[in-house]
Amino acid sequence: MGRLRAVLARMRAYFHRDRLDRELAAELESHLSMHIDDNRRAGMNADEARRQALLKLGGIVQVEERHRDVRGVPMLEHLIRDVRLGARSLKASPAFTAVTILTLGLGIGANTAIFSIINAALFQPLPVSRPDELITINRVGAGVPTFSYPDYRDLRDRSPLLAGIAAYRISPMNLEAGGSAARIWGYLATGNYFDLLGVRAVLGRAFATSDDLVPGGHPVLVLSYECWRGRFGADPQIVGRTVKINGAPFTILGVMPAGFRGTERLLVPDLWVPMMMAAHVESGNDWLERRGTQNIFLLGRLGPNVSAAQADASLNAIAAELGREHPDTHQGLRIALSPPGLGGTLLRGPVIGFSGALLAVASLVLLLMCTNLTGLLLARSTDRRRETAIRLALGAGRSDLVRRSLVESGLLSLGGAAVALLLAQWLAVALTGWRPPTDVPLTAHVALDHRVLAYSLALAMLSTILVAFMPALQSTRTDVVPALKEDTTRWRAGLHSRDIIVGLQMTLSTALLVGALLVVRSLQHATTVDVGFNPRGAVSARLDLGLQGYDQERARDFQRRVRDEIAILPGIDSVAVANAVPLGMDVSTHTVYVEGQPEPRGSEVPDAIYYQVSPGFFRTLQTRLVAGRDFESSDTRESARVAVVNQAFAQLLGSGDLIGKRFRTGRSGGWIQVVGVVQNGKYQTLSEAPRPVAFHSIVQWYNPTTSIVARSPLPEGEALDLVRQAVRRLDPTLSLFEDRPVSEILALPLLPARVAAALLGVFGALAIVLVLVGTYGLMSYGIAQRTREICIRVAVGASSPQIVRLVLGRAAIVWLAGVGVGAAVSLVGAPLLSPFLLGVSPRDPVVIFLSCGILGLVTAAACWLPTRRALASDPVALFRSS
Amino acid sequence: MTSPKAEVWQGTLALMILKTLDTMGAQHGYGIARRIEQTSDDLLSVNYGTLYPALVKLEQEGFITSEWGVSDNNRKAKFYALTRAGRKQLAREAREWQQTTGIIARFFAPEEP
Repeated sequence: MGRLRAVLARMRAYFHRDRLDRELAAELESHLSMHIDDNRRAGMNADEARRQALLKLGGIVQVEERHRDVRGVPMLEHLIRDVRLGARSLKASPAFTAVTILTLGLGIGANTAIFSIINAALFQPLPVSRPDELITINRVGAGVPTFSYPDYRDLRDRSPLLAGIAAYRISPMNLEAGGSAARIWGYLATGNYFDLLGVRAVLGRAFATSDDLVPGGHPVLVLSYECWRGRFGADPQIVGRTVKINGAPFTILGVMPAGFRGTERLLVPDLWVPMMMAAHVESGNDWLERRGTQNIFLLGRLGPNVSAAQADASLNAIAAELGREHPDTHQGLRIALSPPGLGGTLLRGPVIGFSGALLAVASLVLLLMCTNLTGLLLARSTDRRRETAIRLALGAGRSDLVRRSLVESGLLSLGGAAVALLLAQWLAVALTGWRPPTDVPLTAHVALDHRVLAYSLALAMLSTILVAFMPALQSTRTDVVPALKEDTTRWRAGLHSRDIIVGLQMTLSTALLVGALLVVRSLQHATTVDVGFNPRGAVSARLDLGLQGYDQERARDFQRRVRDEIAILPGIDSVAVANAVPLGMDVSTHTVYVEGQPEPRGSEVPDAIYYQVSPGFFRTLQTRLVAGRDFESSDTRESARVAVVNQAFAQLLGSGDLIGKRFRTGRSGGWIQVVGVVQNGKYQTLSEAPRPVAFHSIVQWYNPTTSIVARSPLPEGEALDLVRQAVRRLDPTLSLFEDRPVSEILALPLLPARVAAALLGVFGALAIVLVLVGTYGLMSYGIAQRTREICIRVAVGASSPQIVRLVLGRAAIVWLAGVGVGAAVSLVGAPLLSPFLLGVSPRDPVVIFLSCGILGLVTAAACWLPTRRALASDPVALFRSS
Repeated sequence: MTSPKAEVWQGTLALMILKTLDTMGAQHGYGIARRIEQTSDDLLSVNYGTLYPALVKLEQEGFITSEWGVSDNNRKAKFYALTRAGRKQLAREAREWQQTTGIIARFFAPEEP
């Protein structure tokens, strides 16, 4: 109790310190007067009485200081005083302060920005109720971890440990409202989707289980907040209005709250539709009862007190049951759980890899900046040696000096953190507005929440400690007397803290340069990779005839007529129609059973990507025909099924003459004859290995999704206009999308490589500048320190080359040690960059040697000027001045 | 900065202040210092300045109170007085001292024959 009183009394005393100081002064004065009175009465004269009284008191200043220590909160008072002093000394050197705060701001800001992206992609909880109970249920083994609707029903009904499972699929749709039509993306979601998430509509209501019972029987939808604001002008009477989805009327049930974007982090949908409406949304393709069509994502909520591990075991048991019940399709079915939001396991791996690499690079840059700042601070503390020595002589403890140094660095870091947050906020806004070049509305909603702030402050604190550590240590090792005499002749033969810093800079810069060179080489390589067609000089545009209400006959007719219409235009060399173009996001596959070969086991049947194309496709894209022929008009719906395959596919056909061999796309069904072979190309990513691809005739295998490709010597804008006008002539209500030059198709696969090259290119250049500045600064400083020594050597007869060797020798050792460690670090860490590298090995020795060489040149350049200056200096004049 | 010896010293100084105030009643700092010197028969040569931090501590813990008043020779002075809690603390500490010295005395007592 006494303790508590004491603490409270101390805090009170802190606020009244001026008054208490005055009181003590008065008290001491009265004490002295009484003592002096007594002394005089004892016989001393006035001066002696006073002297004796003061002696006995023990020194007024000491009493006052001890009094202050006891009565207040000394730590707090010292801290505040240090902050004031630190701020004042920083204001006294504005250039240094500005440079430091800016440097720290850039380094911490870059890191914070990247972390905020990672935060948005991985950590921010979904805006639903109790998000940590949600899990995505993934099918292990396939590319996309989705299930079929019958599987979903079984899993939902048979899993007791889960509070519920909902399913969804994201699909493009044609929305007609208020007279205008647009292609939008929406969710097909089961009735329990919103209830499972625990979200309610902000206007009207969301759909429930009762709205998802009968296939095709619930033409209702729920709008997203952004869609309601953007497309419907935030109409307060929106509930109950009818709009058209793919030509049929749907009623709007409600609007979801702002900030709710469904259960995928990177995607912003416009609306939600009950899954029972799937057949209508996907133009006649009714897959709801097909166990083989695995195309929906499953989202589950863990039951009360159920762990993910328990749910995993239970679900896998059900999967095993399904494997037994449906051996041809589900044998060996396994399930894995993952946090929701990144397409289950589909995107999670790549996103983590990507972010990890980015964060590693940004951290390197921050470290590099910290070393530069350490050098700056070291130089500054050396300059203030005299001041430090005086303080030490006056009785400041070394811990006081360390604390002061830390406080100063802390102030700088706080300034840096403030700049960093501004930078990160600006970047976050820019990133949130950026849409990658895809049809699907991808976006990252980046915001600076508490996690990002905490990260930023933690980085600031870490940089404080890193940057201040060495200078603080050094200042405590100041020997008072030499410092007061400004004696600079001491030259330590051993390792100097400056050398360590430059060495560190070499190491970090080597790593950054290696990364930058690797990525630039990889980008170079990527732009010259043979994609199997010529993207330059061709344009493409897409339409979804099914979504726009075309039935099969009308669509086939359109596909034929649009080719005829465009082909006769002057300026168009060739035109073709297909369901998709290679390297687009649309990739479909089918299994391959070759005639005459023994049937492989279920899990070993080869897969091939397939396209449905018209005659002229290969000529338009300039894909080389290696054998056989292209599709011709003689290949009709009635004639034998034919296909053109690529060389990788041809390898599946066995030996002998490829033309004439037959295969089919399932265990049963009609045989398809190979009539031509084309060169291999790239179909999904630029770094993939050759894959079997089959091109079927779109006339023989109908697909309502239509891509028009046209080759033309005209400028791409004009060629696109020709295509658009032709389509408009045939049907003005059709809406085109992804109408662009074919070369832009490469934009998406090249995106990671381009981003990496941009970032690392900037960071690499930054590294070179920092190393140049840092090395120059420290070198010239060191040489200036050693001027006297150099003069003496010259005076006793040392030649210029000897001096040069002396000075550069040290620099060379530092460079060698630095890049040596840097090369080792690069060898270990470069594989982190693999997501960005196309066709380049992360451990390329040429790149490492090149980096070391560049840094060697930079070091030599940085040393040259100071050395020349040292040699040119007049020894006598220097002697006299120092 | 306090070494262990100084801390012990501060503890005994506090005890001496409390006892002095108990005996003398309310007194100012100078008076307390003189009295302590007297009581120890001038064996203790105290730096008078050390009294004031000790007085602050005792006041923080609630064992004494202070008030500005007028001394005998008409000087303004700050007078300190024992509180009830202070009196209790004094009694407690006195008891502890007795115990400690009793135990130590036993170590130095002549052995029983």
